[in-house]
Amino acid sequence: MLDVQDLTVSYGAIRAVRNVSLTVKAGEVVTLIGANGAGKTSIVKALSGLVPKASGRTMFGDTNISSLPAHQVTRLGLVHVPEGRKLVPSMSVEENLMCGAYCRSDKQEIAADLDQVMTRFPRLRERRRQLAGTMSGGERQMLAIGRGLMARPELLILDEPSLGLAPLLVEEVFNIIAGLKQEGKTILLIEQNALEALNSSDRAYVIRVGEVVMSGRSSDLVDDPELRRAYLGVN
Amino acid sequence: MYFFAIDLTQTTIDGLLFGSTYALVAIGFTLIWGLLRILNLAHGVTVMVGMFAGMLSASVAGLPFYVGIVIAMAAGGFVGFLIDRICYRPLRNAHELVPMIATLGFWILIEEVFIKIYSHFWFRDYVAFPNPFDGMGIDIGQIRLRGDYIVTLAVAALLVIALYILIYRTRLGLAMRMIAEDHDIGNLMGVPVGKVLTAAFLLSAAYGGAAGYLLGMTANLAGPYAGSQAVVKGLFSMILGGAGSIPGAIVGGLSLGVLELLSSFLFSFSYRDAIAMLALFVVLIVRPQGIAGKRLPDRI
Repeated sequence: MLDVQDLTVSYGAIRAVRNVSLTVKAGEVVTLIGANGAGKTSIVKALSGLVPKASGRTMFGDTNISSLPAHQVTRLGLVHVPEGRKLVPSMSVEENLMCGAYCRSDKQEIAADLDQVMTRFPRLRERRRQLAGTMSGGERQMLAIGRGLMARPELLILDEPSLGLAPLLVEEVFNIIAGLKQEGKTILLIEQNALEALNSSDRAYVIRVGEVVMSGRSSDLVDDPELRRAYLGVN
Repeated sequence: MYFFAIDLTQTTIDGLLFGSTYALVAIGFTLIWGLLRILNLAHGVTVMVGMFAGMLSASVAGLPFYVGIVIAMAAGGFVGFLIDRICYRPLRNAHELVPMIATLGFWILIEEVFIKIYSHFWFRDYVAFPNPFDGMGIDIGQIRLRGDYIVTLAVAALLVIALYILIYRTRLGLAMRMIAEDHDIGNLMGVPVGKVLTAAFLLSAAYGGAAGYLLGMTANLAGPYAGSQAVVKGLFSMILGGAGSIPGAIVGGLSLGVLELLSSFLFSFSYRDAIAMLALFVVLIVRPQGIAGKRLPDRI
């Protein structure tokens, strides 16, 4: 579904991402793990078009999105739930969810999806009139994921969904991801929490200073002694 | 004492009615500030062009008020389109001060060219802005509501209501609210951000054009310096009310109207600008975020 060849991202003279190639197949959950500053967020920002791709060829389905502007990438169904949630704090929960459906015009189906998202996240239904800015971190993350789902994504990119959350909420976020995986959704997950990410994904790429240094099935990587020492902090 | 009280009330009411033009100008500044965090210093040009378009539509073409104001809005809107294409779009990836300086250049250029046209050619013969509501008015006891002021307030109120409907009830408004928070939110939700910003420039400039018509009509005069005055009054209103907030722009505009007329009435006409500035100074010391503004977290 997503096929990235030799992606490079530059900020001025700094090359934050170098020749990264990766694929995501339909129905898969793929994770990018790596330390803070490894370039994971730069990769997904380039995929969704928020930052320009300096080189490489990126195919999404049959469409070449190498130089497509972000809003058109979204319309194709590549939906990026960004790091830091990026909600509109002055809008209500319901309005934020409707932002996700901005590109859709099928009113009845939007209403059905809104209901479905609120059933998935009952807290959002309870607080549908509350301003997003007054919600807790965990609720905001649910809202951000719910808003992503409102766009009916073909591929959902989740960037650091567990960042800044209390351990109990981190677990809840991974439960949500497990639920989405069970429904057959295709997900590209960016995580610093490598162990949890490996446990909830099919395949993984390990990123270090802008390059893929290891890749494979998550269940294999989780047992890899070198990876365990370097990234998981366990022996 | 009785007459003083009547006059004071009359002045305050006139100030509120007339201040609605300032509110319209301030709304134009506020829209662009809210979406782009740049001061559109060329906004005054939309007011001046709207004023002259309106004046010509009334004096030369003899068109009625309600047609003239639409023409003024269209003319202002066209200027807004130019501001977007010349001052903002080519410079949108530069530092935020760069497009602001470009709007300053646009303002000076257009105004100078306009003054040349005005003083060397035929505009001198067409400065009187016909006022169809001259002499009309409604008397409530001892208080008289001037006809043109009532019309001014009515138009401003209509435009403000239309703006609120646009922002809170339409898809374009939803997109604007996303972009006002963060351009990336718009991008991620599939909003064509550039197109929405063009629409915002058009909209704010159309409101400037309407303000130009109303300012010219109530003064019976179209002048080439109207744009510069509008920039000062509009920025003043926006900052007084609270930058980036539409209710703030309205409160600021109405307050400035009252402040100006009251200071002319109580002190002196020639010092009204100085007194208004003094009032702004005091307000900003007490409430740096303006009358209706929200306190922002410190950026440093």
